[in-house]
Amino acid sequence: MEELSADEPDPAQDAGVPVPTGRTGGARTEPARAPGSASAASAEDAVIATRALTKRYRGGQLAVDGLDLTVPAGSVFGFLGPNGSGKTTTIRMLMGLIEPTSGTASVLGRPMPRSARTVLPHVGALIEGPALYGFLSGRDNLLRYDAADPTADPRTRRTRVETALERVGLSAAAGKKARAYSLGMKQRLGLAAALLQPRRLLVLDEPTNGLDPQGMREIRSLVRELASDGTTVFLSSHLLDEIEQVCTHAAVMAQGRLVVQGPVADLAAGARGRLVVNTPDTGDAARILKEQGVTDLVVTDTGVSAEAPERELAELNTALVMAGVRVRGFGVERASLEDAFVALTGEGFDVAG
Amino acid sequence: MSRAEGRPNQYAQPAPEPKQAPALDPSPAPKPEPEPPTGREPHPASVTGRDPHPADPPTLHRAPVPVPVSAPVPAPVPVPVSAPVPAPVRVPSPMWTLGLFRDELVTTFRRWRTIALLGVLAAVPILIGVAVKVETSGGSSAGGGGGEGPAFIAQITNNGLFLVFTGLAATLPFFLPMAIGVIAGDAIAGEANAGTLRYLLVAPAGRTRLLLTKYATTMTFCLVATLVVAVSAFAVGALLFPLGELTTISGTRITFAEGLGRALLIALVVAASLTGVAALGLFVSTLTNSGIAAMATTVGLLITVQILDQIPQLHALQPYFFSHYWLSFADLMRDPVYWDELVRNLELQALYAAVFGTAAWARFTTKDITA
Repeated sequence: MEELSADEPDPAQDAGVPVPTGRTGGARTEPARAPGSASAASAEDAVIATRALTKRYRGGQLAVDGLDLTVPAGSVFGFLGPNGSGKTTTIRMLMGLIEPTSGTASVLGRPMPRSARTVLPHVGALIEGPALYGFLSGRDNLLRYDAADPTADPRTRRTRVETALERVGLSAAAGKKARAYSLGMKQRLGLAAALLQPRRLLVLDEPTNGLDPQGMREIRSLVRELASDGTTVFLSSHLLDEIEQVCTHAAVMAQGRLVVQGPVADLAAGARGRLVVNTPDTGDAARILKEQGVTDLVVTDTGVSAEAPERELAELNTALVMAGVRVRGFGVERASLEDAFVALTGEGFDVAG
Repeated sequence: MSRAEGRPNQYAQPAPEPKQAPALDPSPAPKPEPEPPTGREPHPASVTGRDPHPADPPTLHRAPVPVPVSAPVPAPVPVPVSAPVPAPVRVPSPMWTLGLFRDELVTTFRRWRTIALLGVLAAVPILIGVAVKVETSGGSSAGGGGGEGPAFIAQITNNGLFLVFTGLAATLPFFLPMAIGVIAGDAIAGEANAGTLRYLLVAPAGRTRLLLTKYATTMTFCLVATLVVAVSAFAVGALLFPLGELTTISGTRITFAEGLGRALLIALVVAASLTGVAALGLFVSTLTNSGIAAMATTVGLLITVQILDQIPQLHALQPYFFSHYWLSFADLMRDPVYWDELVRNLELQALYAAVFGTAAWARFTTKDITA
């Protein structure tokens, strides 16, 4: 993308411009630039775009099959799918860790894995859980990961590390050996590593894994905050309600194929809600509803549920009441993303929460 | 990015406002931190304390004096401007790339395992020195009753400096290469096993850069390990035995200073003798995701080759075994020095380094990182 090619002007300015002046100048112009750039980006290519991306492992197993994924700039993108559906393989291909068998992937407008060295400094990633050097302290772990980035300025390294530690709430434990960390602390440290630099894209694979509810909330608000600053967040998660709460867009994978992608609101709307009648007279209610042409009836202890019909619901209620059915509650439950998900993948899903 | 405005703030204790960060930070690095608190649109980069230069490049470089006027102006350079990037440009200094090597060195030599390996290596000359001292304390000479021992062992009682040669001769066949095998074998495979490899690569460390860093670190370890043996041997030798002029293998006498020089040269040659094993170990390390397996394979190969090197029927192959010319370092103690085998040894090591280094590179740069 453009900013990447912006490398050339720098040497000049890096050399000569007095820093303080530069800062104010930069600050002034920043807001002015922002809008234009945003529209340019959205009009232009997406932050992540894959075309027919395919990965077949040596054993012949087709892990990802013709994936066409588009992640719009500035979105919080939820990446869903049952275990083994190819999510992690996709993420690894995007990060240049795995070579695609065929198809192309581009991140920040540059082809991956070829442009890994120019693209990845702008990407923070948490892939398949945190991995740490147990014999190093949390702080030293971050220092090491930062040193691995050739574009990271060693002069600001310690400051950036401390800032990242603070953001994830680990400052107090920064001096402890990482092997003594709990899973939640490791997860936080992994996140801190992704936040060592200002990033344009964050790829977070199950970021709330192992965190307590408080920690999950913190991560969610962190994600929102990052997104509000314009960072695109690519989030894979098993927690559907989490995706629903945080994400603007989502994609669903099943068996290596992309089932659907789009704005979360559209996805949830795709699945129809269910009519729920709360009544002690379940038998009568079911009979009446059936007479009224309602389908997919399910009788439970507390009432009856059915596929929401397209017609005026008040008439249904009248029919029930006229027939002497005692109605405690009557209404349509909005379809959740989970309903949409199950409808799409046609199978159960490992819903952890 | 690190802006904190609208944050409801679950971060009460952890990280309220990034602005604070620099303040809390003990680091001496001068940060652009005075600005964030002013409440202006903080440039994300500035808040996180990144270097000011890369932070706001496009604008400054064209608007040097014409003050803020140029604010909403186009931008100096059309391209970068339109970038929606928070941190538009980073101007990495070429020197920064060495940061990984430095960190790798520090990390390696701080590990308990590395220190233990060096400790074992340092103990070998101590054991030899003490054994020789005890055995000869009755008055008999070391060579007399003991039969065959490592090279130069008979001379130690006359001159402690010979303990350096003996120590290196005793550790070169096994202890030193085993230590190298552990470090080299674990270099990539150990990172893969811990999962840290994927984070190094997305940092992005760069595969070639990471491999070179690992090889350079292993080579440094070769040198340090050899020097540890030599220094330990010299210290013990000086402590337990007399020092002074010494007799070369050829029978001539050289001064102590020259002897010391040759000892250093020998240490360097021994370290260089290990480059082949280091490359081999690194190659093995790229083949597996298990550090233990890589270490075991490397050490196993080492033992196998040394055994094969003893089988007369394999005479034709033996000149190509990496360990075949190892003990040629003794030729440095001839007067004049007999260079033939020394040179052949170094050539062989260079060949191994080239072949297995290339193989490791070919393997590592194309490998799918699934760990």
